[in-house]
Amino acid sequence: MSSHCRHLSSLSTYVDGELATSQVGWLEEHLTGCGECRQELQNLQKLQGLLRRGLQDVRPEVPGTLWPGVLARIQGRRPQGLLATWTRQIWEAGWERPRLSLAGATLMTFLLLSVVYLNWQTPVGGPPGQTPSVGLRQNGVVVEAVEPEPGFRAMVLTTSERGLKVIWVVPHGRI
Amino acid sequence: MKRVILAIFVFMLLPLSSVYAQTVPLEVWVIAASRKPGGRIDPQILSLVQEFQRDFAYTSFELLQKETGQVNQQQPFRTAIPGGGDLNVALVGADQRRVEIQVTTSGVKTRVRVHRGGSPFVVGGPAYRDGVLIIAIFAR
Repeated sequence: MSSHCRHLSSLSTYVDGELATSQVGWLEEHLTGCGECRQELQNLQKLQGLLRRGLQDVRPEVPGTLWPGVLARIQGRRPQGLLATWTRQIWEAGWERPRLSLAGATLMTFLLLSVVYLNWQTPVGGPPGQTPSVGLRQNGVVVEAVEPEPGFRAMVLTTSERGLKVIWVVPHGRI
Repeated sequence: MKRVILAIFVFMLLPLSSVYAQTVPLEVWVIAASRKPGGRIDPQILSLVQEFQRDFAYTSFELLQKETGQVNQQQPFRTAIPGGGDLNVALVGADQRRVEIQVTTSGVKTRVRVHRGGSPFVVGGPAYRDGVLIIAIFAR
């Protein structure tokens, strides 16, 4: 290390005001003749000024009611519910395992579509365009076909009060 | 390996979902109706049989059998009815609101559409003791 470097290392102590009095005179004498050290001294002083201003800026005015409010919130905080915890865990796990999430979503879609498809596959009623039978009530019964067995007769009756559909079966001999 | 397990799981669930979608709960009431003097009416079936009292002039109604079950396209609902007959209900089709069923019992085979939770479909007339049987089928 050169003697010049020793001056540079003393500059920081000098700027902080902690250099021994015996060395201050000697350093100041050196500074009058050394441009590099003067430049370094200016840089150090600028840095010190910036630090001081910065430290002053980060000390905002804190209202006196802030801490009691924070404390009250911490003390009054309710524990998270089981459902919320599970939902959060599933949500986080979903993001951590995108393939599993995609598989689950695909499965759910597949099941939903299969249910919809099966419901459409076996429609109730006649062919498209055919109007419902006359006398159909909102929650009533529609008789589509009646086939009595040999030896029997069948009649489709409608009760007078609620309009219930009744198939009445009687042997031939009883009519 | 995980993919294989997932695929098996999916194909196991598919038939389950289809059966669930097409399974219709049923309730069947078998009622003995007669014109015995001083006949009584079973309070459980009062609202239904008031219709038959008015239109068919029966005086006595007794609930002989009340059964619940379910029907889907793979498996019909079957039950024995008093007097030696059978009741067979097969599912023809179903959606969220309506059900189309084929009902076979002594003397008749019929196909009807009923609303889930709506009015029952009724088959009456088979002889039973000194009166007749009335069978009411509800789709739930």
